[in-house]
Amino acid sequence: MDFPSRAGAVRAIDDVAFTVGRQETLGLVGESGSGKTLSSLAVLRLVPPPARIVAGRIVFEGQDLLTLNSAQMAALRGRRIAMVFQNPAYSLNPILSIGAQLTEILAWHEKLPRRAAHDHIAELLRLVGITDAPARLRQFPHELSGGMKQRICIARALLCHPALLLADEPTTNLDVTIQAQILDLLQQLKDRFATSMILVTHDMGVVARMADRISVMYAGTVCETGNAATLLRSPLHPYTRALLESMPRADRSYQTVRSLPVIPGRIPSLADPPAGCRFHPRCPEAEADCRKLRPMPVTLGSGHVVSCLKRGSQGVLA
Amino acid sequence: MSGVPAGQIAVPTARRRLPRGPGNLRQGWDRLRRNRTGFLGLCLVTLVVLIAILAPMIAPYAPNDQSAMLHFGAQAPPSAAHWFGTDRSGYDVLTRTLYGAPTALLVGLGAMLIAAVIGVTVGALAGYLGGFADELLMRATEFFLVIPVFIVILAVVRLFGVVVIGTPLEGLPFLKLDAIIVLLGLFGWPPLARLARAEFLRLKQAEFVEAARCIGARRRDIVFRHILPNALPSLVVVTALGIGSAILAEAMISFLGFGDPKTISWGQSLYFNYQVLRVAPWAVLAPGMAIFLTVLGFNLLADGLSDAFNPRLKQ
Amino acid sequence: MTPPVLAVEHLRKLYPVLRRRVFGARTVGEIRAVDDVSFVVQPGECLGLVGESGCGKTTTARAMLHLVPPTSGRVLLNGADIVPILAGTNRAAALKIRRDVQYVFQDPYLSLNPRWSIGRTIAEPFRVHRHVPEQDWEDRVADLLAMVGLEPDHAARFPHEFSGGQRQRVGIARALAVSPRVLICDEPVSSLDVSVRAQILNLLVRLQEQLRLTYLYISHDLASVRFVSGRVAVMYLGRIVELANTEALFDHPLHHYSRALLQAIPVLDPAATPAPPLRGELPSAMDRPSGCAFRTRCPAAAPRCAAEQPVLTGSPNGRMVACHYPR
Repeated sequence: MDFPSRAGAVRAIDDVAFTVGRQETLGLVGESGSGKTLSSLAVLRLVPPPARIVAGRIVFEGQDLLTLNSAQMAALRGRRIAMVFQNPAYSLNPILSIGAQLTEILAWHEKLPRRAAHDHIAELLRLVGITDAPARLRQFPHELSGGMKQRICIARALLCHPALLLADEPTTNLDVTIQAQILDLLQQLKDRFATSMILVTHDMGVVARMADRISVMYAGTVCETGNAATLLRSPLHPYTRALLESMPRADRSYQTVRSLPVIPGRIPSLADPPAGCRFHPRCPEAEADCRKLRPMPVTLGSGHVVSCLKRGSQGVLA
Repeated sequence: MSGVPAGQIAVPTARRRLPRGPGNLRQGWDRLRRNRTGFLGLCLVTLVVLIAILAPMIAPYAPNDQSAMLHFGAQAPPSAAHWFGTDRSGYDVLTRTLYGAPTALLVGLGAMLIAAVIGVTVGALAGYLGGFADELLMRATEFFLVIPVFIVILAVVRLFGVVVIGTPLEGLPFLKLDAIIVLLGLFGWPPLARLARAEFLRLKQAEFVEAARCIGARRRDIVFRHILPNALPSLVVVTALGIGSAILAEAMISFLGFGDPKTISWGQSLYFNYQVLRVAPWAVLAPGMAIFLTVLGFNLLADGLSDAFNPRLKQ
Repeated sequence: MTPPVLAVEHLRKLYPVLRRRVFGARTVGEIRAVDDVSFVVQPGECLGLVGESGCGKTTTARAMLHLVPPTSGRVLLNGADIVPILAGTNRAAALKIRRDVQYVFQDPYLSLNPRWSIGRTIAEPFRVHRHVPEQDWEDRVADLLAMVGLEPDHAARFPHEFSGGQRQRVGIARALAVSPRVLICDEPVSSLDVSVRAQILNLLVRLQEQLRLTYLYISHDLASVRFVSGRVAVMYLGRIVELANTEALFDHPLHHYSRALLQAIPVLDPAATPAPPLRGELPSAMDRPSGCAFRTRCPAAAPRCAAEQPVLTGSPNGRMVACHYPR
């Protein structure tokens, strides 16, 4: 995916690949500039211009989404693939009542009659933990708390029982106790509706709790993908390892240290990424080859995929 | 002890000489140059300014020279002797157009200077003090916004013209023009006040202002060293736009016949030559184009400045 | 027993809720942003102030430095109440206090004047306090930049040329320019990327040791509080509900809210079963529940909790908890 800029195209994400199985939750983890949000937006083909997708395939239920026209894509969005955004205040229309916004979606996709739509929405609101549905439907977004708004957004996403749910930092703006509630809710609903989920976040703790598999992204590429438990217990890619070690932890089992292991330097600008492996300027294990060759993903045991020359990847000149 | 100027640290004694990066002003200038419309606006404005300064030297004739009546006659089409032709009274159109530039600039800059001083002061006080002062000043601002400015200006100018007859003031040159400038300034300040108030309200709560308060800076420090410099970019942009409007307003006032007949302005030229539009269109075209290009120049410059002085804009 | 360097006693900050009329406004209620908060900070220690949104931790910090005027209460710096001094007109006395206690702001993007070079920003305290002669400014700025891990050569650059982590370092350097004894850090790493947080946290800990500073560390992120602080105060709706040594709190929280807060933090072990989340939502600040404000969500709520508001009891330097039925 490229952004045009004065200095030439900026490649925002490069050679990103991931898969999500049925009823599986994939955690897409990365910091700012890693390209995780753009990747999830790309699935819905909601990439904000001037960014453009320049290559690749997005295969959903057997179909390459990049070959669909806008009408076909619009039919999919909200019905088969739905999204929950980071800031619920901005993703709800402030001038429409909650009820109006939810019925609008059902009217567009399912063409349900009013009565049936109303019942369906009420049921869904109950499932997301909102008790007095009729009152809430008449309210406007600004009258609700952050946690409540996010529940509405989740209900909105699940209205048509989509096969895939994209959640972009759904709890980042929420207090930690509310976050726990929302994560719990997402887990329950996912099981109940047999939905697959791509959970985009920078919080390792959240993916640890929610994800079956995790993909770690850095500066527009995927470093490592694998089963959640394996990846977190023994991360292979130096970035993942350094990231996990540099995080202060609150859990009881963790022994506090005098000083945290640090990843030196800072996240590279995408306009001028490092040559070769994008992480090499900050990598404790970097060697001469890492500066010149870009590591390609290599599959190790049990479906664990890593892109690192020191772990067995082939390198290409880049 | 005054503060150190922006972008620099006090020059030290022998020990350290730190490399100096480009300052804020320099970076802004670079950005302006790269912005094509802004640069075009700057060129146009510079052209007008140069013409205004150099008019007496580059104009082919004296502005009140009616000698054309003797040979080419009035309303003569453009020719080698008169590049833009002559107008209804036999004046050289090119000369009158060139001499209109300083008048236009005087009007634009003069009116906006008055408007800026009043507007920024009112807005800053309202925004910074808040409370009752804010309410009071804003009601005053709205009052001035509600008045049909143009009509009032016309009325006052006409009245003023009548009132000074017979008084010693009558002989003063540019009296009516000055009256127009002052009036434009007196009625042009509300938008600036509104903007200044908005900026001060926003910046008053900015974290760096809080940080300054935390360091112990005085109120006066905070207003003049922190808030005002950060509010200046948007105020400058609106002022540039205002200059264009003021020039246009004076042109309209003159065109309607309420202008100062003793001054040479583009609006006055339009007023004089409108009746001969059919037979001598060049006499109207030249001042008209001059107004258009000048106002366009200021507008484009304002656009460019708006982009140039905001370091946060990502390309 | 060394006297505490900082002591807050019964600090309160109330915001009246107004209903506007044509002329003036009528007070219809009040928001108790900070409701009778008291704590002490010993020299050289770091006290963490923890809580979720609306708990009043940031307002407490701001009120302590008179960035918002407190409604009532005392703030003692080395035994002397600084509230009237900061509110008063004696500028010299107020400046002296501002040299002793400084503030590190949360947002690295907004806490620096975008039109000033960072050198000028750091040198500004020198100009205000006049405790450093002008010819030494450039050297001192360079020293401060080096101390926080930045290149001294970058003093002439502007904030937008730096990353978030670097700007935060500039903010710390500015706070240190007056050589304070106490530093109030308001969520200094919350706006930063995860991989940069460790750098800043390490810096804060190192500076504390190096310069023998006392910290008040405010955050909603319990993990970073645990790393930096020796003692922690947990706040809920404007009141402190528990105050304890960090390890003691994380090991066995006494207040039900502290426990819920700790349990809500996602653990890095995927095999661990998450605890059931705390039910309910934060009550509206204008509509506080009677008695204990936490009772609407507390798993151990009893009739007494609605009738009587619990008071923070225990020993001031040991453990304190405000609960009728602590765990």
